[in-house]
Amino acid sequence: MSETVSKPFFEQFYSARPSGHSKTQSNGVFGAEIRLSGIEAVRKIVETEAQAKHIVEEAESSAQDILANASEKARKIRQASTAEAEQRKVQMLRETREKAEADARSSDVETESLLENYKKLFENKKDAATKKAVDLILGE
Amino acid sequence: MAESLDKLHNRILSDAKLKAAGIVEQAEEKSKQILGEAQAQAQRDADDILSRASLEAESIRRSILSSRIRANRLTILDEKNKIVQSILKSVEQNLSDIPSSDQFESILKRFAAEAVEAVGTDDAVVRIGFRNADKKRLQSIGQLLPKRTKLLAEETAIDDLGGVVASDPEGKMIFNNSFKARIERLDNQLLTTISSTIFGE
Repeated sequence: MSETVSKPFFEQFYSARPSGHSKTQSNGVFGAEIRLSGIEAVRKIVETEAQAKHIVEEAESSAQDILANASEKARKIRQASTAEAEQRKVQMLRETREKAEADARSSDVETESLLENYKKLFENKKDAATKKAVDLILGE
Repeated sequence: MAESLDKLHNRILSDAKLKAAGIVEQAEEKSKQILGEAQAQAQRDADDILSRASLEAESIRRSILSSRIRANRLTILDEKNKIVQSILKSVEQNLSDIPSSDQFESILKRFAAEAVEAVGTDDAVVRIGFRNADKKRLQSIGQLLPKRTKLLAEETAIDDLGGVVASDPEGKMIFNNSFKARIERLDNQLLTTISSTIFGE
């Protein structure tokens, strides 16, 4: 008994337990009664310690679950954010391409219009331009 | 003894529960931290993706627009150049027709005088040559030149379009006053005159 339970612990149970209430009272041996009560107390303490250990182990397991859940949530958050950003990127590039092609078509139309205008200007002003150039060359 | 045992039992369990609560609480704190960091990192990742996308979009926009706009500018320049060249052809045609015009003599006289003056000698040699020009008409210019000037009327047009070339007797000093040479000397002014007249530029 003294090897498994510390002295204050043993004394606590030894002094507190009234002899008249012992379960082993029927054998009439006072010393045996004390020893049996102590054994039972140790057994109860051992059970309690096991229970306590179980509580702590459950908490540790729960903590592991919490952390695992958090890691999984974190992974999902990053994955969702990346996926959304990639989607926005695709949309941005598509819109940019469409806008640029529209602007390019607009530039084509503008160019066609300019060329048409040049043709008209040429027809209307070629004689005047020729005369001015000839006069310049002749020094007149 | 039973009471003390119960107290001890309760205390052990209470300590265990306290410890368990601490463990769970710590895990929850850590969990919050993990989620917070994940959100921050996710935001950084998203910002990075969108920032690169902006650069890529700008590059796409430039590649589409710049190539098309460059092509259109070249088309416009090409058309303007064609118009100017067409006018210059017309100018050359007008110049080559000058020998048959009324103003020919006066132009010839002026060109010859300019050339002789540019050479700066009294005994200059003046060559004249125009397409479809009457040789007698060309020779008639001789009486309008300084007395010691030697006139050579050629049968072919000088520099294709015709004109006058004066030189000293040794041929060291030459002044080319052909239509072609005058066109080359006036190149920039001609382009400006034609462009401003046609395009208003």
